[in-house]
Amino acid sequence: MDYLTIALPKGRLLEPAVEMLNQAGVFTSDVSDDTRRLVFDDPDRRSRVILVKATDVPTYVQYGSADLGICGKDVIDESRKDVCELLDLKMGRCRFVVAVPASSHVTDVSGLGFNSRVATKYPYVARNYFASLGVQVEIVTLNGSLELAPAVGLADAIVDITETGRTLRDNGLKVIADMWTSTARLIANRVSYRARRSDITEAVQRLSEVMAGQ
Amino acid sequence: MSLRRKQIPGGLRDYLPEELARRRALERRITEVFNRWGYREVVTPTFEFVDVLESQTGYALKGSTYRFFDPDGELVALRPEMTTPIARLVSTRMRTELDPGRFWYLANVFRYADPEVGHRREFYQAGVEIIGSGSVFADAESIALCIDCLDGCGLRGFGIDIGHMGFVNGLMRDIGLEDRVSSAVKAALLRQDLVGLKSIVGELGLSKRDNERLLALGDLRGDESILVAGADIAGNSEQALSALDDLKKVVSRLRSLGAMGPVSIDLGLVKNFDYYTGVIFQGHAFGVGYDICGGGRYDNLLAQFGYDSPSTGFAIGIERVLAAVEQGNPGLLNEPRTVSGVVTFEESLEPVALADTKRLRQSGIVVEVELDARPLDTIFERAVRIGRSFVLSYSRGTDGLRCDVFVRGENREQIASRLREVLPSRRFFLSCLETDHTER
Repeated sequence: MDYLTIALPKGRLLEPAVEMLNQAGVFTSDVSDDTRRLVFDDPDRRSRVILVKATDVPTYVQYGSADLGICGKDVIDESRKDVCELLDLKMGRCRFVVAVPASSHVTDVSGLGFNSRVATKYPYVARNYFASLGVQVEIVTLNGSLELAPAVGLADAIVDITETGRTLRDNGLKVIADMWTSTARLIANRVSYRARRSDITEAVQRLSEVMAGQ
Repeated sequence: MSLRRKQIPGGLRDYLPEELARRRALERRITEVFNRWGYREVVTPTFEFVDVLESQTGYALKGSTYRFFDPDGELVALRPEMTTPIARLVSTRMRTELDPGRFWYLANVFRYADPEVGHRREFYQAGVEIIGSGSVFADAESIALCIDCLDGCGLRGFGIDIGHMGFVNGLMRDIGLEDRVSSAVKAALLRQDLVGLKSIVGELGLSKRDNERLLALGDLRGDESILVAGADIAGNSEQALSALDDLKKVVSRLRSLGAMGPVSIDLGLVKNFDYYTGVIFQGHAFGVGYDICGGGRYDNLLAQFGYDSPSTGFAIGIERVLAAVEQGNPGLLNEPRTVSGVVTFEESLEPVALADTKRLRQSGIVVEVELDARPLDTIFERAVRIGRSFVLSYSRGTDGLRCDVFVRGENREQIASRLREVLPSRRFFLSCLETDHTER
């Protein structure tokens, strides 16, 4: 049987994800994103880890280049990729929030309107959120340093993820709406999930046991 | 120049001759199997009234048909699938020929899809419909035929999952879920979103037992023994129990048909069309990230067109099977090498050369005619590049008509004797196409 390929995101989720896979015995070799290596094999377990940019995990999984992947729900929803969500790994917890400058007179989302610009790295999630509330705003897509956008007049509000809210406060922003909480998920390619059901079910089982033991 | 002038819309594609030849080879393999099982081909229009096409295709296709007004002001749409048009055709035009009617089609269908998500907007399907039989043996036949087609394509290592709408629906009804919740549960099962399923079910405040029964839908997949596990979950739901009974009969029939090899049972299987009512199935293959085929029973669809007739069928995604076959068995669908050549001639010999060309073509040899009277070297270079096996050149020599044949490849002698057979009155001067021709 081919190696079971697991796509993992470089960055903050990598270490806890690898630790979890190690404990579950799904993938027992070391993985590090300090080197240039992107592919790590565990010949004993016949599994392989590939390191990709966090936002690319659903893409590798949807197209079947990886059977499994671990990434945040925020990334899955924004990517709109067609993948199976198998398990909530309950780590990498962060909140989606709408924030405005602390000095703003706006106190909730309904205070935003046609003239408001909202900066975000998550245009799809943000657009859906405002549409579901019937609030029409202009979405501005940025790739980083969102906190800056209101300060320099680029946007009236931002939609971003935050763990503690501290960075937002330090940058003079206040949260006016908690949208939802995102956690890391185990995702699977639709066909792998059928064609390699027993391998994948076993991995899910072991990961659940590790989580139950924590 | 506008950028658009060199583009086609996303999600569409062209086929170049070699790719198309492989696709056609695959289509031939599939449709030959359809014919062998006694099915007959039908064709329906590429676009029809929206009222027909969207009658019961369900949430999966809502907002994903290409609709437009024709100049009469009628709202029409490109067909997003073939089952509904065939149901319309049979209920309105072929009622007397049924009991049951077995039909096949090969057609392109159109669905609006976000090309970013990797789905095509125009794709090709081959499929069948068995109209007028409510027997589970019709479902078994449809599944076995689908497997025979995939085998016939040379596809290896594919799997077929079989389920039953009655099991999922019966279970949800037994638990007493509202329609809104049932739809959400089915949507989660369709996406195989187990985290979503858990969160929907968790919010319902059901008994522990009912909670487990619903969550089991995400997990009840395997060999026949799953049917026993299913009976535990089904409880007193007659609908769910009768679904299990149907599946038992299908399995037994498939075994007799020698088609159980790739089959698994998946009691949580649901499909993206609302018209399915009974046994449903779908197939997957290594190397293709999507289902390659799917189908099932749709007993209420024809009633939409005023003719209540139980029916079942399936569709195979041609491009997806093509990708799977080429990955698992490269070269399998390449065209067999046929004898083919190029004819060139001096102007005055046109009548002779073209009369010979006609006879060669009649005998089944592929012949192209040189149109621009280019030098032989140019013709040779091109002939080799596009894989022609010979060049036939007519010229006027010192003692009249001269026919030179430049042949290529290992079976030079065979090709030459074939030409002599078709044109016995010609004397051929034989040379090799690949080597230096100047010595001639």
